[in-house]
Order: sequence, then structure tokens, then C-alpha cells
Amino acid sequence: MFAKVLIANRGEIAVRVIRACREAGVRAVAVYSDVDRRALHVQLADEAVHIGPAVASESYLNGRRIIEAAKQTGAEAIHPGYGFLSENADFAELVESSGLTWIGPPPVAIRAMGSKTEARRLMKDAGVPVVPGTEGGIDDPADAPALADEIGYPVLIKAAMGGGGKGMRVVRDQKQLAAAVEAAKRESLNAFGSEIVYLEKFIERPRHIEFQVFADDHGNTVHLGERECSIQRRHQKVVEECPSAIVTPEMRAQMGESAVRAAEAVGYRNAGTVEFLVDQDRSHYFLEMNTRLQVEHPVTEMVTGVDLVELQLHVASGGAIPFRQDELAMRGHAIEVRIYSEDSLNGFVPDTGTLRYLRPPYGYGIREDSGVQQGDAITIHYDPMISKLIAWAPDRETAIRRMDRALSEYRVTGVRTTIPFGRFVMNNGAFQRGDFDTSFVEREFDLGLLEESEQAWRRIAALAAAWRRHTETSESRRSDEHPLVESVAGSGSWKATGRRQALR
Amino acid sequence: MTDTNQKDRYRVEVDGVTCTVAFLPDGRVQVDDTVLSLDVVEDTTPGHFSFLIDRESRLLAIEPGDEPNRYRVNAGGYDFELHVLSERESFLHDYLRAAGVGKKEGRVKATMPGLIRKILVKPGDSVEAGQGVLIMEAMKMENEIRSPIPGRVLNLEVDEGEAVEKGAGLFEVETS
Repeated sequence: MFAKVLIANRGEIAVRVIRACREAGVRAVAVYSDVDRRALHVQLADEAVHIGPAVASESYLNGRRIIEAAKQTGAEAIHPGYGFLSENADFAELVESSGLTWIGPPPVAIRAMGSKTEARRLMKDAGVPVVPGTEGGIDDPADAPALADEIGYPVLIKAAMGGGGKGMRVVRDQKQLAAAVEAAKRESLNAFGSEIVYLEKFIERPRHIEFQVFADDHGNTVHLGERECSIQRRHQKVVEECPSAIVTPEMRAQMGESAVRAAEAVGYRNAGTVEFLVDQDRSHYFLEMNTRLQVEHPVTEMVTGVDLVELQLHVASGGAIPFRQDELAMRGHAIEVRIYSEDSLNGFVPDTGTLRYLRPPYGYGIREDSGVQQGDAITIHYDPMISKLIAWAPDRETAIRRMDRALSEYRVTGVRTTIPFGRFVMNNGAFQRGDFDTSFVEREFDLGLLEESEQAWRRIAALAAAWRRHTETSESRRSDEHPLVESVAGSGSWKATGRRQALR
Repeated sequence: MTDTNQKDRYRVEVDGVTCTVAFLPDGRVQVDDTVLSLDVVEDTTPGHFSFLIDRESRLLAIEPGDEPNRYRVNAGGYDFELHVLSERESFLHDYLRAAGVGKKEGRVKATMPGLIRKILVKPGDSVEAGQGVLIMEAMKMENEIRSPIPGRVLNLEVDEGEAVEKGAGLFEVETS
């Protein structure tokens, strides 16, 4: 095992990795930008190094500076977390050529999975099912109609280097095809610097189910079961669970085998996630591989009992995976809800502000992975995810009720959060039945229900505001100090009231 | 509400809805037609209060707003901006509103944090309702911010290239 590891990240994932390091007897080195000096990850680490200004390109994305920090502190390895430099093959190479250990897959595997067309070709050769589509990019838009006819409409145009829904277009008949290909090329060039697009069969209303895989240097590759990630908004996951309500043991064995084959095909090491689309007939298709630890890894940990970050450290330092595939046991059910600083009532627009009050829920079966504290600012510089709330229970129904209970206890003021949305999902019939797909938010999310609940709170807010003014004015009436304060009640008298209360 | 002192009665305006709140001599509170028991203690976090409203427990954050008698309340995860008027002030308010004084509906604020990309008008320009005044980038998308009313652009509170926080004033349009 390593003696010291540097964590090239911030927020909840940095905290998660620091905790695992300290439990394993490894000294943890945090890095931080100008605005993160007081952040939780800096406070919990054994050592911390300043790496630059708030803007990520000059701090958390500054690979050279991060390697310098590792050298300076004598760290032997770098854990990238997720996001930032975690899937940057050049950085992984730089880490290794600097004589440090990269806690992640070999750079060549990151690169292979980074190109969607390349990954598709590799997967096809390895016998992993892929969505029917073109072999490589479309060179000449004039070829598109014949290719689309062969695949069968509807087809999906995708950017080879893309992600996050950009450069993607659904085409339902030939008339729209040429224009859509041109538009997708332009969008892809702007967003990813590459105009290579390809065609795929468009899977109607798929579920998004992914498999956690792990590989070591001793020839072992295993999977740790699936995660159901179909509840998404803006192509980003918000609620995840393990196991999936629709995956049977036979399906798990089949999909798990595909996932292991996918990892082996690229010479994978350490933790990775193979994402599949599952269609209405329950057939699965390789979507992509995320060559890092996932945000939603805790649901797998709660159900399998495997500490994935500890296992990452163990495997990266040369250890073998301590269990065989047939020893993997899944117990109970876990759900994760991501708490974002976003306005659920207003198209999930990111919100910024100071966390004036923060009281996460606790209690039996609840885990909270958070990177913030009361008083912290949520800024435009970084991801608006505040924390992840995870509920475990012996069965899915109880896990849903437990999550709803926990969300109802969660108190955040200062920014708007996705907590009301999380409660909506837990109370939704289709979610409770396990009958949903990636179109859940557009099909089921009823803004009216949230607005109704907002309306009920509006009266309470009115009562509270009137009470505040009433107590301010009656206190000032009693006070000789501010006899005229009634006419200017507001911030001035607020401070006066605060002072008087402090003096009592 | 005839037995309450008029000093203990307030009109609260929130999101275009008005309700009346009266504090009764026996310590209870009347919201419109409903009488409720009320017990409030301050939390250890300033500005946060534990309310028992007819024994129902609610944690509420109350902070002063930008102008006198305006408050921001967080209740149940929702944010509200409220204007609390005493009985006397509400008469005055109605009178001024009827006389057309004090209208400020032409001030547009940023609904999300972002970056001002382009300003499309100059102060003094006439604009139609719905006409674009500036382009703001937020969430990696460009959004045209339009004038809510027809009128004359009174002033622009931002410059091109400026980053704005949520709630920051962008521009003001005066009814012509």
C-alpha cells in the first residue's frame, strides 16, 4: 500500500477519497484553488497544497502544477476522482512518466474508450453487443441515406468525440437526414473540435443500466453488479439505484459477462463502468465505458459491501482483487439522490449562493457523501452538486420510503436544490413500480405538483414574514433607543434587534 | 378582525398574491380567515426560526430584503420574496398605485448567474414589449433578455463582458 496519495480533485469526491486513504493508513494530500482554502476536503486531508486561482483550467485542470504538488509533498500516487483530469489520457501518461502511480486505468484504455467509433469497433470485435450502426464516421453526407436505410429508421446521429447529448440528433425519415447530418457536424466541430459523426439505430425509450467492473494486475477482471441510472435530466443522472428493478439474475450474468469482456478488450485496470442501453425487449447494447470512479459508486458499495475506493488503492498498489466473481453477493437495495444547487421548478437552472443553513438527514440506513459545510459558497466555478444522499434498506420499497423520509428532513437555505424533485421521484407511481426509462423526467415530471406544494408553503412564508416584522416593531416600540424604527423597519432595525438579542 | 389592534395587522404580498395576517391579543395568529396557535424560537443559526403553527413543526429562514419591509423567506425548500405592509401603509400603497406612482415593473433582473455577451440597445432607445435588450450567456447557452413592457430604455445597469449574479439588476424600461 502507498504511504501518501495526492487527490487531484475537490468537493465530495475528494472528501470520499481522503476518507478511504486515512482508513487505509495512507496520508492524504489535498489540492485547492484560491476559493477552496476553507473547503471541507482541505480540512480533512493530512496535508494541503495551493495550486492556483478559482478558474479550473488554472488549478484543478492544471496537470503540471498538480504533479509538482505531488513531488513537493512526496506523494507516490495520484487519485483523480471523477471529472476534471480523470479521463485525460495525456495527464495519466504525464503522471506515469513522472514516476508516480496513476490510480486508474492505463492511458491506452482511456484513449480507446474516449473515441466512440473506436470503442464501438473494439467492442464489436470482442463480441460485446453494440447498437446497430455505421462502422466509422460518415465521410460523405451523400452516403448517409443508404446507410440509414440499412440500419432502419429512426436513426440517431452522434458525434464520435462527443458526450452529454451535444451533436446528437434523432432522424425519423429520410427527408430530414441531410440537414440533420450537416447540423450535427457543425455542432460537433464547435463543441469537440471534430466533425466526425456516425449513425446508430435510435433505441426508443431505453433504460440506462451500467455495470461496475474492476481489473487487477494479476489477470482478474470482475463485475460488481449493475446500477440503474435511467432517471436523468438534461442527459445527466439524478437518481441511481442498485440493483435495477428489471434485472434478473440471468440478465445480470449476461450483461456482467459483456461488461467484463468490454474491459478485457482494452486491457483495463482498476475501477471502470460499462454503460448499456436496455431496450423494451430487455436486450442490452454497449453505450460507452467511463474509465474512472463514478459519482454513483456508493449504491454499489452499500449493496455489495465492497469499498470501491479502498479497492482502487489496493489494486493500484499491486494488490489482487480479494474475491472471485462467484463470491460476489448483493444484499438489499440502495438508492442515491444527487442534491444539486438547481431550481427544480425552473428547468433545473443552476443556482449560486451561500449555504446559510445546512442540516443533512441521518438515521438508520442513511449515508451522506458531501463536500460542503454550512457557510460555504456555491459558485459558478465548479459543479453545482452539493452532496449525494444514499439510502439502504433490505428491499426496494423500504429504500424508497427511507429516502423520502431522509429528503423530507434535509434542510438547505441559501440556494435552491433538487430536494423537491427527489421527493417527487420517490412518490411517483411509475418510479415505485419500477416502470420507467430515460424519458422519465419529460413524461412524468409534473411541475404542477411541485407548484401545489410551493403554494402551501407560501402561506406559511407570509405568516413568517409578518411575524418577523411584528416582533421587530413591537421590540422597537419597547426600546427607547429606536423610537421611530417602525417607519424604517428592514435591514436597519434587523441589526438593532439582533444586537439586543445578543445582549440578553 | 374587529377586536385586533390595527398595529397588529399586516398585509403580505407575495408572488402577486395578497394575504392578511393579524396577531391576536391571546398570542394566536389569524391568516386570512384561519386562526392558528403560534410558538416561535430562534435557531442557533441566525435568521433561522423553529415555528410551531398549530403544533406543526416548521423550520423557516427569514432575512431582510433589499428594501424596507421586504423579506426573503425560505420555507420547505422554496424561496419567497414578501412585502409586509402595515394597515396604514397598505392604504397608502393602494392610493399611490391607483395614482400610477411608484411603478417599477420595467426593471429586469437576472434570473440566473451569467455573463453579458452583447447589449442590443442604447439608453434612451424605444423598445417594444418582447424586444431583445441584451444577450446573456448562462449554462453555456445564449439567452436573449427582452423588455417586459413597451417604453424607453431608462438605463443599462451592466456592460458587455460583465459577469452577473442571480438577482442583479440588468436594465430598466420606463413606460412611455
